[in-house]
Amino acid sequence: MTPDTLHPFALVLTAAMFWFTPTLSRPGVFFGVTVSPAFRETDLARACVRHYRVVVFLGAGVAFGVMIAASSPRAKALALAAHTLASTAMWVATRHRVLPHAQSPVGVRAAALVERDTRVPGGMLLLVGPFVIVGIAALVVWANWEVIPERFPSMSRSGNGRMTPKSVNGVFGPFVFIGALLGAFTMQTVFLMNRTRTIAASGPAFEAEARFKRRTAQQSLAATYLMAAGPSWFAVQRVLGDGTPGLARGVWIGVIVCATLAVTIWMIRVGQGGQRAVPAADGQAGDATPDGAWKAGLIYFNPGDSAVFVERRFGVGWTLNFGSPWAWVLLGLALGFPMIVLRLMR
Amino acid sequence: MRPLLLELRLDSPLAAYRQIADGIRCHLVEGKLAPGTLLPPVRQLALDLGVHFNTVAQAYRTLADEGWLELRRKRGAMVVERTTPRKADTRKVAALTDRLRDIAAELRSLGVSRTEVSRALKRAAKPAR
Repeated sequence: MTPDTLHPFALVLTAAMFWFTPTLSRPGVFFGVTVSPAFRETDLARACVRHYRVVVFLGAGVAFGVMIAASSPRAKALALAAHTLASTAMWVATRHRVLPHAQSPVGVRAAALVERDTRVPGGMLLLVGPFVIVGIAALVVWANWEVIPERFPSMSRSGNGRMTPKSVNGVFGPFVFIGALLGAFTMQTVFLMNRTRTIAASGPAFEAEARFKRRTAQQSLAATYLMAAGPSWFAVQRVLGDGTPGLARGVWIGVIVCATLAVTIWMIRVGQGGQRAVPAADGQAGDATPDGAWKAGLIYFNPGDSAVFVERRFGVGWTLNFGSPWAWVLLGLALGFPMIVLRLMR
Repeated sequence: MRPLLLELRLDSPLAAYRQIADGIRCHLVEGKLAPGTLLPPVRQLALDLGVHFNTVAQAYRTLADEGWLELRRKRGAMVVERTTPRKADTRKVAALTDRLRDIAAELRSLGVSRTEVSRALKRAAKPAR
């Protein structure tokens, strides 16, 4: 996939996500605000959705036009970013329109007095797999140290002619980089299973929620394998092969595109917490998080909440509770550590 | 089969750990939680109720001190058979009796008849094991 097709593809995907976002949230959450489930059917709610979608649609049209007209990949990326920003801003503005109609969350929280299955799908063995793949790739490179050329294509600009001199940092840095990202993804998978709250305590809503959580953890695990296999192979090719992107890279990108598409369609179909096709749980309003802990409806900060991940109010899936110290550990591992490795590789 | 539920009232003046301990104790005295039953781990219950881990741990400890539970490392707690009834703490009994009197008075002030109050108290005491 080239930048000519990648950016329009990403634009269609993000525009679809923004378009469907208002209908994906739980029945008691509307534009990030806890409301009565009946609020969605009011004229005001319909008008909110209509105005929001007009901006998303027009923004996508303008961005698409820019992508057709512009030739540079940077301009295409900027058009995509501008559409995302404009749609997010419209979402936040609509949230402010809904806020006066907020309903205080249900005053009772219920929990089942039975132990849930919080095991990661496939167990520890499957979690370790991606690290083994990276380890084997690094071992292959180490075993062939003598045949590595004195200069080989750089990791960030592979195929663009930029070269890196042979050194331990230059050769093994990418493997540490991949390992750090894998660490963050693995932690995410584990936390999804045992550091997230179950909102419905029983019934079909509970079953749907458990299925949704398990499926998301499986997807996160699959993403970890994709992240381990592709980049490890490319890192080996970079130092031992001719360094040019080959068929394997094309296949890898194709798999990622197909998987992203499949996950997006699945998310739109099941809705947040798998609740779209399920009747609302008795007396359940909202998502068991206080409105006041949500900053602009996007960022959750609640030090009194023991959950590391909570259901996000914008779109489908989970977001970090920035009030939990573990959230910062995860962010550090996902962003900070790879930055340090990249710096050491220079 | 519907699982046994525990409820936490956010607007209650009672501390969260007291509400949790009281809720579980109710299930215990009514025989809904039989000896050998495993309660969920502290972490799971705290997450679902949206409280800190220590709050649930304190509730479990309270019930363990009363002889209802046996605490297990990282595995929550197990309901145990209370073989020997403990000697009643007279001060605690007096405090709880006062609470009962307050509740009865509140019910009466809400318009509930004396007979209905005494019936409700009998009903509450009946399933106790």
